[in-house]
Amino acid sequence: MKTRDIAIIKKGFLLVSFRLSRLNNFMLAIFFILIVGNAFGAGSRPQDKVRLTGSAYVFPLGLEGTPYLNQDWSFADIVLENGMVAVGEKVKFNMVTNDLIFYNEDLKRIFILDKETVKEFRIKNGKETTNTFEKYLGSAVGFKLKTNDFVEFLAGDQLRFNVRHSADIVEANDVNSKNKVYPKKYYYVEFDGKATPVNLRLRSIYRLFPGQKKNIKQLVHQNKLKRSGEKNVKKLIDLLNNEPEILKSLVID
Amino acid sequence: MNSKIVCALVLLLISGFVKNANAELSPEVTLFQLQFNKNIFVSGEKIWFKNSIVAGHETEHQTILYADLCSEGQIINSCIVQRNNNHWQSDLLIPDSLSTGVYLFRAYTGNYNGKPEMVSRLVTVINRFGNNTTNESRKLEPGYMSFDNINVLPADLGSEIKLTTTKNRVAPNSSVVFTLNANPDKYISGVSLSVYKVPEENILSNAEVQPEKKVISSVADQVKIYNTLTLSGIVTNSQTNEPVVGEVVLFSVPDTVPQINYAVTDSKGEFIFNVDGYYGRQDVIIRTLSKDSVYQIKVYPNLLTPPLKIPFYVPSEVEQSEFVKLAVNRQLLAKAYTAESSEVVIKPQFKYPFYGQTDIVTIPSMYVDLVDFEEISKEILPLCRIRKEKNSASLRLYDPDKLSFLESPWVIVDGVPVFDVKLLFPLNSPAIEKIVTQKQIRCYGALYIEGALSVFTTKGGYTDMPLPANAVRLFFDTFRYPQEFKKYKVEPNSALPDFRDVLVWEPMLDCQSATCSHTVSTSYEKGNYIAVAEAIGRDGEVQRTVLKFIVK
Repeated sequence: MKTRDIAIIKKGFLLVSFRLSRLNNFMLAIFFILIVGNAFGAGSRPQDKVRLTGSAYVFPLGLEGTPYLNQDWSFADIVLENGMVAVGEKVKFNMVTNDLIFYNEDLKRIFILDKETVKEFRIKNGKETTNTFEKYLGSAVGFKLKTNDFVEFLAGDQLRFNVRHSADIVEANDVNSKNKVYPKKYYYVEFDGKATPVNLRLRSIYRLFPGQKKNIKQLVHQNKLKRSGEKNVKKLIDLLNNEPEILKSLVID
Repeated sequence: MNSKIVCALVLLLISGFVKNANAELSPEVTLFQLQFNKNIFVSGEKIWFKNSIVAGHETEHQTILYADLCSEGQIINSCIVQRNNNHWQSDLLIPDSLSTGVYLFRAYTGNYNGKPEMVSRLVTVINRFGNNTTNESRKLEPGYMSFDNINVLPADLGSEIKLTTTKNRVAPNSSVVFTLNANPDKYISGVSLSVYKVPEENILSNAEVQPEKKVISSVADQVKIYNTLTLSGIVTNSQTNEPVVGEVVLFSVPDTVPQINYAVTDSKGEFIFNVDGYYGRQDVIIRTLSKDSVYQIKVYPNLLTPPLKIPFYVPSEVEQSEFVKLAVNRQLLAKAYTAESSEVVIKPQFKYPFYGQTDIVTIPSMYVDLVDFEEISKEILPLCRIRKEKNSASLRLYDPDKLSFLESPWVIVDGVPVFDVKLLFPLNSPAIEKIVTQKQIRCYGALYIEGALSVFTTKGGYTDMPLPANAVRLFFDTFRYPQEFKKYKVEPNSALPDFRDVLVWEPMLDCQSATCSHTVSTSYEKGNYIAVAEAIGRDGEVQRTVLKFIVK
């Protein structure tokens, strides 16, 4: 590497000269990143820590299977009703009780987040995927979906495709056996505050649009969505959101 | 390879600065433009103002503005305003009793480091009852100068804003249309328009530049002004006067939905609360979590120290002028006939009790009247046991789900944590509206809440209740409720007289294109008027155009 002087101009016109021979590339990169970070970050506001409220949580014992959607603690951003956002909270979603539990770093304890204070939350699964959960505000649909339940938003805009993660605990018959957890998913389509259950067959979407089956089938054919399944139903819902004429015929009881 | 990495990093560095810095202004420069709706004020009137900010660095975090009207050594009135579109706009009431004189209007905003950035202007106030003791005393002071901003017209600046009208002579109680030519994209805080009455004679165009520089400020330690609305103070030990470090301090406002804020004192014993979510004047109670030791709490002021000396007075010829006399008469009539402003409706904020919701609610009025709280806890209050010791009393809650007692529940009255159970004893059934029992262990941020007993009194507002130990109570001014200058429309058959001398005050004209028109309704007040359109560009240059017309 050639030795040369590099002049770096900081905001206040500071001049620094370095000899490359004394700095390897990694160190140089770190130095520049710090300077650039200062330039981009100038004036950034230190965030007040958002205060979450919750009741003490007791881990259920003696279960076979997990009542949680995410086995390990995941990081989540929680949007509260007062507009504040708690970023990077360690959470788990309990499917049995439909509650979000969080780890309070200051108190070193786990609490159940007060549902009334939460608007929505986004659980980060790894680097790329994020699962968005919202509070369902419509009227109850049978016993499977109640007002203020957390549902995961899968696809859509005006017409939304959601899933309510649930789990049943079946008591063990045998004295030596544990109670078993059976996870379940209930899919819903929501429009204008009303929801109706659907399954992962495309047929269950057709029946929501009386008289438009032909047009929807055409969409399915054009976009090669013939096979049923969550992925294709999501795509179909996204496509239907761009078809206002078809949406007009939507019937949700 | 190495040279490529270096080139890429240098490009990243340069783009960072280009993105972050305003191309026209140096990074360390901050400019303000403070405007008023007119140039003379009578006591009892409001000063409508707009303060724009342009800087060579990012200012998004500077969201609040403190504005105050000062006399020598005294703050007459103040308000705290929230930012909107790179400017702040609001109004400040001049008390009726304020004596004739020259006062200083200050507008300042803070930063992360607590250092304020300020702009100020001198304001002439005429007392409508003829009280001019302040002015007369200043005339006798050596070194005080006469100040006349009533006979001075603002000067045209720049040529990028143009204001025109089709007629320079307008009838009273009629309409006139002004056309504004200005590129709205160039002015991040918009273009303002004010139309007001000016004296007919002796209109001067020269004025001393920045007479405010002659005002002498206090040399005392200035208060720290942050970029968010804060309440700060210090906790010291009453006996040793040493600062108390690491103590939790609670902030509460008596309310039907108990909410608290908390902070921990730092190494200097100081605490700071962010109170961004409040409007108006708040009744605040601050106390330490610890109730055993005896502490003192001192709350720091939120406004800068007022100036020591404002070496100006209103000259007699101005004070006795026909224009000023008419302004005073007009103000007397305007107060009777016109509503100057209307309050902007604010969306109510979401409120949730910090100890959570519970369905264990006891309403004493549903039972026979009981003489004190001890009886209430024995007879009708579920899950609650009060134990009396020699000079103290303690409360514990029973959790039937876990078959255990909560030994240190929070005791709250009207949303104010009191902890001392003895404070509840005088409360009898008629004095209590309801009692809420929270039997769960809960958290509120880093606060561990081992159950709570929340009492709501019939009077509410923590009225007639003694202050808890280690507490102070004060009235704290938070954000001003936004007000809107009332727009006036000509009503030909209206029986109400119109004595306005400010025909228009629009801090930010709604102009979507380079040319827009604005219709102004004149009042019954005949005389000379000026229309002033003003804005500050991204380069910090003020553009102003002044148009004269007569109402006759």
